[in-house]
Amino acid sequence: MGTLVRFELKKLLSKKMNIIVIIVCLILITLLFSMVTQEFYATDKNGKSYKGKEAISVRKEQIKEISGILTNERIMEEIKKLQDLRNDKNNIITNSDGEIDFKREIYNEYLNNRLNLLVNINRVYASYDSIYINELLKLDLEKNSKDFYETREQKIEEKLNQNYDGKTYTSQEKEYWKEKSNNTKTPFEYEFYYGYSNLYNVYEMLIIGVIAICICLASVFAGEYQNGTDKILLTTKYGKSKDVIAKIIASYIFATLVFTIYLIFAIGSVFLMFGTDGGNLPIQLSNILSPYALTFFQSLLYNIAISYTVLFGMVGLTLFLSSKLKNPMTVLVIDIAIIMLPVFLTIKSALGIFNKILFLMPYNAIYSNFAQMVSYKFGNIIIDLPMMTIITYIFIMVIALICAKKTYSKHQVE
Amino acid sequence: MELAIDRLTKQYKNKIAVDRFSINLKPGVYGLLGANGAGKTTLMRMICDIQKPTSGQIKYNGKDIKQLGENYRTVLGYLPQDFGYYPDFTAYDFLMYIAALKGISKEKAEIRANELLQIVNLDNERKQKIKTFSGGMKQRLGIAQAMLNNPKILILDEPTAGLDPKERVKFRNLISSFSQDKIVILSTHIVSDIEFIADRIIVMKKGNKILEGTPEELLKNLNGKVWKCNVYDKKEVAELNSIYCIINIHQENDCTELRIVSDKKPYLHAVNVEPNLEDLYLAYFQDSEK
Repeated sequence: MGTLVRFELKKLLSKKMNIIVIIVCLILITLLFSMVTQEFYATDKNGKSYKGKEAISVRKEQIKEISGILTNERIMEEIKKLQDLRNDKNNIITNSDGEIDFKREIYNEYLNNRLNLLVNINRVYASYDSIYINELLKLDLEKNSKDFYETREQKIEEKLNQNYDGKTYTSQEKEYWKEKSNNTKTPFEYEFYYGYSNLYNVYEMLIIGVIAICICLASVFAGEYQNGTDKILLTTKYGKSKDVIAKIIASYIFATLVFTIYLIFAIGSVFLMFGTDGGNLPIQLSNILSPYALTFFQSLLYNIAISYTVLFGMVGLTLFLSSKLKNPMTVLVIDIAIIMLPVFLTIKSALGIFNKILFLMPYNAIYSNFAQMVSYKFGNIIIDLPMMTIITYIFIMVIALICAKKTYSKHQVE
Repeated sequence: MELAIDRLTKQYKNKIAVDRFSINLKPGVYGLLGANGAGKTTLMRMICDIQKPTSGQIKYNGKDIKQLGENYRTVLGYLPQDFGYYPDFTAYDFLMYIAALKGISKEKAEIRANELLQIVNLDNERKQKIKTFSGGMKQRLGIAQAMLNNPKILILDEPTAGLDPKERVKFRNLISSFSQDKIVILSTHIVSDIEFIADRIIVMKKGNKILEGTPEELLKNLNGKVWKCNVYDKKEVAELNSIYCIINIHQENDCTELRIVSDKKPYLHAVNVEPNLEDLYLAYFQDSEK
């Protein structure tokens, strides 16, 4: 078996087309993930702007100034300070749209380093997903004297009770998410975590790697049909048995190796510049309403596991299509359609079968931000989106491989 | 050892490629003759278990080859008519890969691959990539891979295609020396290849076996029916051509030499000549084309 796997690997690695595809995609992935660093901006207290690695150093220092435990008192202080600044007419201007905004100096001196934190806190008080700090500016602190983390739990519950285009969470789902959210350790600690958050801004681009691998593997079986080598292989002793297994094993070794290289370059090019700081911090620093009790490092490990299962599922599907279809190009067209289709379809909410299926499509599934409360109910069992992604793609892989083996073994030459 | 083919049929929608073909094959070299589309390749593919018969059965030593599976493929060697290679593999790598597929141990495979590369005269090119090979070199490599496992049943579909005359002679010798206690089935359009090495000849037409026997037995049918004559009048040549099965027309100066298959004397000055397999082949297939 070992010899056969080696030869099948040799077939994959000796194809010039495969080498070109792998290298081009590696360059593309490295460029896309490096761009996060190159396009990172920061402004210091004097209003001087920085870009790239310098900006990261500036921001690191700025975050140090506000790092610490985000207790209720600390958060209330932050909100009060923001409101005090806003209430001082010397700090505000009316912009060209007629809207009141802080003066540039206030941004530079006070807001630049804490804007992300405030925007995140704002989510707890906003009616809808707010991307700015407007709710904090008008928040009545005397009336809203409730603990921040209690308010957060309430907000999560509010979201669970909402009606989304006529669809609502079942009581069992509500309980599931409430319990999950209750497991998050509060108060949250705030420190520099930009390596992780910036990595997650582009993480889904790893789908390019999955496409590249599918391109290379599209010919595993279909290539034999197209070249006419099937006529020889299928008449040999192991042509219909061990060789099919060897082809599958070689494909998975190839996919794992290539994807690991992509992951190293992708994650490496972000962490090399931002550093790995923040791994022990809760993912709620990115989205305060996330119900998942995970640190950034744990979420990265989880995302890596998800990426590999999506990859493995797609490899299985590619191998099945390759065993079924006579032309690798047809395999590719179907593969790419499956992978890229969700790009053109909008997910409106976390509920509804159509939306739930879209969440599981490769382009959406390869990365989880652990922010949405997407769950799948099977009788009394409730599974969250990340776990469902893993289960789905393992299932696809197993079924697809069984079918691929059967199809190739029973293939009739033409 | 026996390979029994029982009423084997292959039907593609409205076309019957092989029609209730039956034969019992014992060790020896079998030459499969037939025009394009006669069903030779389909028959060979069914024997190799890479095409499913519509009906009928193939048994090896009394057991259905479907049920024998790997045990049957262990004794099988196959050279398809048109097939592909891995362009970036060397000749040696290719043979080692096929040897692994045939379940031959690495040590034995190395010895056998080297031996066969020498036999098919590719020893000096063993480390060359197949994409640099000519058609004839690829064909020789194909022959080598089919023989790697020293198969008891060797199926060769158009094995001499692309080989030059010297290589063809070498191939014929190779098959003759290899065929002892083995079943070798080879199809070809080049009748002389079969004439030299086949113990028995099977003639196929429109999916049916129309003749089977030793070359001598088959040629016996043509004894006294092959004629040679010199004709000087072009009109007479045309007339004879429209009436009889002309095997060969050879023009020399004003004279046209004709080779004719006919039950009766076709021309006043025609003389009986000894029939050969080409006469047999053309008599059967030229007739069908007319």
